[in-house]
Parts: sequence; C-alpha cells; structure tokens
Amino acid sequence: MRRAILGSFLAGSLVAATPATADSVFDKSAITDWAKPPAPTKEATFKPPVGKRLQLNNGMALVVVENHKLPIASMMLVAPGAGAAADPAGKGGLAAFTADLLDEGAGGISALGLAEEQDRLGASIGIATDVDAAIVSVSTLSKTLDPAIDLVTKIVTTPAFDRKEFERVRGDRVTSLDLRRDRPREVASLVLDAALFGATTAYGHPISGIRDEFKTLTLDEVQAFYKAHWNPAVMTLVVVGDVDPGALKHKLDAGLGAWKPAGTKPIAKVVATPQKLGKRLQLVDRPAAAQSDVRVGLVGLDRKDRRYFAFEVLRTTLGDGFTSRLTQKLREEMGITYGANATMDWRLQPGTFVVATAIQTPDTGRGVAEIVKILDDLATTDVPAAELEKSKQNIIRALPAMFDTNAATARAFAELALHHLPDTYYASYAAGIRRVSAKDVKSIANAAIPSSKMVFTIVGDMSKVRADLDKLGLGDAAMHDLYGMPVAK
Amino acid sequence: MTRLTLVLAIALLGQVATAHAEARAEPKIVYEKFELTNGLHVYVIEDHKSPTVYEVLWFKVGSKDEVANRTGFAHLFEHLMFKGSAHLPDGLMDKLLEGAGGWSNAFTSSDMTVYQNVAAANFLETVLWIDADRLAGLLDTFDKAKLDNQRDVVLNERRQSYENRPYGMAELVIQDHLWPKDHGYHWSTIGYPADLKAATVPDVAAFFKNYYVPNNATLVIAGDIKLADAKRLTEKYFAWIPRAAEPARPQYKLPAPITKEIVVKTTDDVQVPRVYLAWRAPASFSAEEPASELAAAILGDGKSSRLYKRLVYEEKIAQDVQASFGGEQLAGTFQIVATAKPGVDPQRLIKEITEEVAKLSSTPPEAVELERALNSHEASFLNGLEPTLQRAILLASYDVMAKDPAYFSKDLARFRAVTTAAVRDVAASYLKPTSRVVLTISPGKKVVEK
Repeated sequence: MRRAILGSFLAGSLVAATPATADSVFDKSAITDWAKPPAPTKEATFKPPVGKRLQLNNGMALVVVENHKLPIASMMLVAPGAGAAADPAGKGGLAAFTADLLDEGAGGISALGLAEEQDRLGASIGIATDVDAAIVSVSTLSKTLDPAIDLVTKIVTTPAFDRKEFERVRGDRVTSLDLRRDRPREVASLVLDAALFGATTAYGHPISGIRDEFKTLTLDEVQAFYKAHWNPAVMTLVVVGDVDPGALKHKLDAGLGAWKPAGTKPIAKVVATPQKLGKRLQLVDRPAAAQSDVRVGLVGLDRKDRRYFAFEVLRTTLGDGFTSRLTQKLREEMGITYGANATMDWRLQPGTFVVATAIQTPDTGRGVAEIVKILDDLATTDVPAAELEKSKQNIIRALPAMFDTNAATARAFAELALHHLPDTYYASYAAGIRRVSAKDVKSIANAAIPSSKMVFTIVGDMSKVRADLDKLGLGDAAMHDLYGMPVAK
Repeated sequence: MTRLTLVLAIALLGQVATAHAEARAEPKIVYEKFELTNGLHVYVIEDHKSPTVYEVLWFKVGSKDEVANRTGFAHLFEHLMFKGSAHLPDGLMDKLLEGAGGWSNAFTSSDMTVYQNVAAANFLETVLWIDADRLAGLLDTFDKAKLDNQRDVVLNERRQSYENRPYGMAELVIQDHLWPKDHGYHWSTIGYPADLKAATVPDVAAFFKNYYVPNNATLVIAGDIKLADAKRLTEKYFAWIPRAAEPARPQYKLPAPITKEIVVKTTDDVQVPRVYLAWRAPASFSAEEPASELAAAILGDGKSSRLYKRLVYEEKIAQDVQASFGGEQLAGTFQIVATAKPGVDPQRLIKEITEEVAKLSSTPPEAVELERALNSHEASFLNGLEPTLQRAILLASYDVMAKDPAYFSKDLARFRAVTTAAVRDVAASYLKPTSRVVLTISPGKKVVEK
C-alpha cells in the first residue's frame, strides 16, 4: 500500500505536463482538452447527523442517532475520569487493568462465558482505556440489541473481579510488558511522553504501565479504582443505528439506568505537568535496526483551545495526508521513509503533539534535520494560498467521512461528550475551518510548535546514527534502555 | 503491504450467515452493471447517505503474475501509478483529491491490484479523468527517476512492514516454503530486494503494457452520484481506450501436495519464541471455503475458541494464539500462530496445537460452536457492508473472483449450508501433520533474507 502522509505546494514543484504528441493514443478520445482537470459540479451542502439527547434515571446521558439502513447498531459508553490520568502515582496501568478485568467474568457469567455469549449474539464488546476516559464499544445486530445491552450492562455494573482471573490477566499483562522491548515504536512514544510530562505523572506515564510497578498492583486496588472512578452520573452512552430511541431508553433504564453505585468520587481535574525543556535528544540504542523510529514532539494544545481550527489546518499542511509537507519531502523527494505524519493527541489538558516517522538508518540525521526545516518554514513563511485552500478543503470535505459508519458516528459524538462540546458542534465545524488565514497558521506554528521547544526521541542503531545526530546541535543526549527506561551514563 | 489490508477487507467481506436469521429479509447490494466495448466491466452503486464518491479500479494482476527474478513488479506499480501520467503532473492527483476532501490508495495481493479514489461527490468527473489518464498514459511520463524514487520507498516499506518488525519476516518465510519455487505464491507481494534493485524501465513498462488494459479491469463507482452521470462520464473517459490482447500470464498447475512436514527454524531480535503452523487450503469462492473459515474460527479466533481456552486461558503456556484462513484465487492458506509465554518450550505449543487440530479432524464440532462461528460471521458481514467503499470492493471481488456480481445472496447461503461434519471434513482433508510447514522463530539475531 502506498499510503503515508505529506505535501509541498511550493510554486515550481510541479513537473510540467508532457504535451501529448501527434500520434498520442489520446487522439482516439473525443476530448480535446485532456490536460485540464474537469471542473467540479455544484457542491452539496453536508448536514451532520443530529443526535437526540436523553437522560437515564441515574443521570447517565444518552445520545441516540437513528440510522435504519442496515439491521445493526453501535454503542459507545464514555467513562470520564476512568482513564490512565487517574492512575495513582506509582500505580501506572491501574486504570487500564481495571477496565480490562470488567469482561473477565460478570453478573454470574464466567470470563469465557461472556466471550461465547458475544459470539452467539453476533455482538462484540470492547473496552479501551485512554488517558482522560475509559471507553466501552459495542457493535451488535439490531435483532440481538436487547441481549447485547443486557450483556454490556452486566460487564459494566457487576464485574466479578475474581481473584483467579485477576492473577491470570496480570500474568498476561506482565508478559506483554516484558516483551515491550520488541516494540520500538511503542518505546519511542513512551520515552517522548516521559520527557515532556515527567515519567510518573498523569500524562507522562504509559497507559499500560511500567513492568515493575505493574507487578505490585493488587485486586483491592483494582476494586477501589472501579468503585471510585466508574461513575454512571458522569457517563455518556452514544447509540447509533437501527434502534428506536423510546424503546431503547426504556430498556436501558431497567439496567444501566438503574445502576446507582455508592462510593464514587467526583472527577478530579487532571493536572498535566509539562516539564521544563531538559535534554532534547532522548535516545535508545537498538543495534542492527534497519530504520530509526523517530518522534519529534512537545506539549501542544488542549481540545478546547480557541486556536483549535488553525492548529488543525497547520497540522494537515504539515503532516496529514499524502500531500502534506512531511510526506512530500521525506518520502517522495528524499525516498528515505515509507511515511511520516503529524498528530495531536487532543485531551482535556494540553497533550502530546508529535511528528512520527521511521527513517532508513543511514539517513536518520539528514531526515531529522529536514523535519526541523519544515517546522521552521511553517513558523516563518505564510503557507501559499493554494496549499492553504487545499488543507482547509481537505478537512471540510472530509467531514462526511466522520459519519460513514455507525461506529464512526458514535465515536464523533463520544468525543463531544468527553470534551463538553455541544451536540450541535459539527454543524459549525466547517465554518471554523473556513475562517483560518495563512497568518493564523504561521502564528500558531510559531507559538505552538516551534522547533526550538521540540524533544527528539530516536530509537535506532546508535553506532550508525549518533554522529549525525550530534551534529544537529541539540546538546547532550539522555540514554534509555530498550524498554525506554533511563540508564545511567 | 497491502496484503494486510486485503486480508482485512476480505475477512470483513467474505463472511456471512446465521442459523436463526432465515425469517428476515437480507440486505441487498443494489447496483447497475454495464460493459464497455473495450471489455471494461463497470458497476454503479447509488448511495446518497453522504456527499461522497468512491471509485474502485481493480486490475487482475498480482504478484503471482510476475516471473522469477522480476518479483515485486505488481506492487511496484501500485506506487508508480501515483507518480503522474500523460496529463497529470506528478503530485497533482493527490492535490486534487485531498483538496476534494478525499484520498487515494491501493493494495496489492498475489492475485490483484486494487486502486481506490475518494472525493466529494461533485468531483466524480475529476476522479474518472485521473484514472483514465493513468490507464492510457502512465508510460508517457514514466522514467528512471520515478522508478528509482519509488523503489527506494518500496524498500523502506519492506523495512517498516517486515524487516524492522518483531517476527516480521514470518509471512515471507512461510510463503517461501509452502509453495514450490515455480509457483506464483512462492514469493511475496513486496518482492525480493535484489529483483527490485535490478528492475529496469523497459522491464517495468512491459509489465504495465501487458496487464494494465481495460479488458483486464473492473471499475466500481459508488456513492452520492446518479447512474446516468456515471454512465455518461465513464463512456467519455474510458470507452475510447482500445481493447488490448488478453494479458499473457504465467499459468500454474496445482503443485504436488506436501507429503512430509516441513520444519523451519529461524531467529529474530525478540524475547520469546513464536510458532507458525501453515497449510495450503481451499481457494476463495471454492466449495470448501466457508467450512475452512468456520474451522479457523472454532479453532482459534477469539476468546471463545478452542485454542485460546486451552493454551492461553487454562494452561497459560501461550501469550496469544490465532487461527486464520485466507482464500486466494488458486488456493488458500490456513495458519495457526502462537506466541510462547516466557520459559515455555515452543515444541509444547506445537504438540498441543497438533492435538487440537487432530481432534477437529476426527470429531465434528459441537452445534453451539458452529452457531457461534456463524453468527460472528453474519455480524462481520453486515458490518462490512456499511462503509460504502467496502461495499464497492466486495462487489468488484464478486465480479472478478466469483465471476458473478449477484453472488451476494449465494454468499450467505453457502455459509448457512455448512454442517458440523463439513467442518471436520475440511480439517481432515487439509490440516494434516504431514502437509504442513512449521516455522519457529526463536530469540536471537534478526534474519532478514528472503
């Protein structure tokens, strides 16, 4: 697959079209102006789907979007405050472990029984832990919607937290953490987050935890975390698909809506702790690596920052899509990578902005230097009008794709709920993007992603890449082992 | 790399059915078909749920259609097709499509190369113009610079997707042993680096001229468009392109069966061993494909499967286990993969997997196991119909692989017809200990040849 990311729209970068010669095969067509791209026809106006907002008896918010095209439905339950940011210090991975155990036996059904029942119903229930929230995703046939709701209700409200299952899952997770050294991309991100926020802080530790801490987690701690942080009164359930809102609410009120646990705590505001810029080179030596995994990042913006739209236009121009500057330069021009992109982890507090790529080993230093140049250019020079328009239209015209499936629609509304944005938010999204000017983009590039504040994490063969990296003028390096843990010099 | 996506698409699409769904009307794929005089098959799916158009152009050429010492060409084209053509300067198509809120991508497998364009629906004509220009005029601007550049990108794709990934070489090693040297499934889609490096402009151009012809392709246009417009514009941009000779391609006989277990051992820079058991299996859309898929589900797909229960849940000797079946045009592959827990001898994993396969080969599964597998398939199938693009790819696969665009209803029926005895029978016929390749990757030095 050729997909990656990138884009340089600088004037002159286009190769002139080769004129069709006299005996061109194109002479057989009746089209005389082949070289001219056809004009688009009149653009349709897109209206995002509208959710119906209801509330269950216990205060849980319910958002329903009806779609009867196929006999299926998707649900997403957002549990704010049950994410990894709530892990107590020294207990990294507790939130994710707790969420993981919910479907290892619940409501009188065994762990394997729950899996068998999902298959029998043609349903699938997944539980994921993010930083600011835990998320339960359900996909089901509409004919088995009710039993699927019963099943997910058992999982969320009456997890067994059986000791035998606890020990088994902990064993699996410890093994997975033992094997982390085999996953260099994960290690690169972990090292970057630790450098940006502090290794033991809410946003600075890995969601899945650190092996040595994880081993010490107890069943009591899991139960206490569940009791304190899985609070129906702050949750939102989004249901999209072939459902009837009235019947659905009635059904839910008999189970999820009747769930009123004691002992929940109010959600603590996340304290993100951006670190002072320390050593800017964070390195992991991985001998014989064919490529270097590169992460260049800093603490970006939070989701409700008023500069969100300008930032998204900037990010798209820089590193989202094949025409973005990173892909055009590093892949299409230099041919030193399969892809490169820029992502912003939008959170309640400012999260990680990162440029990510894997560069063939001998060209690592050269590639990193190009990333810096690309960032600097965006911060000092206006994006040309045609490129700016391309980025903006790319975002605006891709909006419908956010609602292409029930699951995607559920995700879109779940994000609004997590960030306390209004249900009507997407209706004004295109207007927000349209307002962004070249000046806005340059200004946000300068203010929010200056290369001078970036931390550079590189996992690769240091015997081959270190000399070039040292020439970048980033100062001393902090070294880490293959698990991403700091090593003494 | 592209194989991954393909497997995903087929996994989502190629599945069906349930024991208790007979009463309900089945969803239909509604489409119109027409064929141009140059042999191009065209399908139109009108779906007005959102103002987007999806275009799929499927060429019947994959890595099996390459010849020895010239591997990786089919996939290389998947890259070169984005580097400009007669009237499309390099980079313009991505600018047009991304500026239209869309994107463009492709995947390659042993049998096919499938291009996808997505854009706001009012760019329908732009999309067709792009693909007609690529088909009729790719070679007009093809040169050594483009070849060199995309070869570098492909070699990096190989590093990222295979060489620099834990256990990443397994897929290539298995193919290498499962199929004899003179069979088109012997080499991987990504190709051998030496062949890629040796590729010349005339070699590559000849490959294109042979396979990239309208009578070797199927076009599907789906989304918020009108049939009449799609028809008129398809005629305008594609109908004039001359029909060409049917592509000359290597013909493969079914290779002699493997009669003695092939044991392969290699090492990688990893912490724990992983074992792979692989067999040749039925082809896609063959009579035994549904039972093969269901056998894989019962053996090792998810937490309710037999291998998960035994190796991961009860005995805790494996960190993970997965059985899968993938059908391709000439034959399929059935594979079981398990990662050892630290300290566990990989031979024990192989022994216990062998026992479970033997059990399924001698005794039909419980009815309830088959019911679970079928219902999961129905759910995957219906969920796979939801994204418009995926529906378009499914329709193209019916046209090309099943040679029957109306295959949808038959696809459901063939899964529902599977009996527990049929599951046992495919296991007995195909999953013999003597006909398998067993690969063990142990901790050690990374090996990237092949």
